[in-house]
Amino acid sequence: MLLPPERRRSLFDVKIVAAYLAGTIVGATVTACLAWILSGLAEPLPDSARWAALLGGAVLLWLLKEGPLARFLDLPEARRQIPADVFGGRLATGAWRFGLELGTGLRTYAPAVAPYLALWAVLILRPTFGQVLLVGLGFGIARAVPLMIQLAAVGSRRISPDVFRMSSKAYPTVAAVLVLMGAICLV
Amino acid sequence: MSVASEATSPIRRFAWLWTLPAALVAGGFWWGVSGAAALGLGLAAGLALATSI
Repeated sequence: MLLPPERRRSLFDVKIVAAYLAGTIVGATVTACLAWILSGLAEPLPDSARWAALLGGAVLLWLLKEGPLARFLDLPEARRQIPADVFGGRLATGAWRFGLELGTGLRTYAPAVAPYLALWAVLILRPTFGQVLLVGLGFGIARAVPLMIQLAAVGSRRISPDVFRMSSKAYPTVAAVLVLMGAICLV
Repeated sequence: MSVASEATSPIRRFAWLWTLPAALVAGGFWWGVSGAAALGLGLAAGLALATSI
């Protein structure tokens, strides 16, 4: 737990969350940039092929992660927790390293289809570099949202991380549709 | 904290988080602002992961 269960927050707590946020943004941006470099392989594809690959890939990814194919095939995923030794030094440094690993989206569990779809969209659509930076920025900020909300909940009841969990099976699909709509804007 | 707010579903309490990526994607889609769509795409993907672990 990065933030102690206290009602009053100190400047040190703000530093921890800032370090974590910086880590998630940098980690996500690194992954987005690597995907963008690899997306050069898709450069020769005509627009019709991009559309087909985007939509076909989206359906396939959904089937493999949320749909009936999930029982038979697994999408690539690091099935491990972030090791505790990232907190070996100072807490703020540990928060940065923890955020960095989480922000990449590649170093721990990925139990939702939306991140796969975002990665696929960057790989297949070859957006501009500025767009890729914005994708990474958005992913990094969103990845740090639960901790930022806990920090902001000063004076109110402590917020358990459990409250952020999606209770409905529809949420991952809704998120995937949002990502797909965003990707369509980049074509 | 009141009984009513205690009874409020956690998902309902934080459902508003999804309005920002939805607004950005919808705005990008409607007005053709690809930067907004890209930011919304990233936010939606990150929120999906942050709320599913």
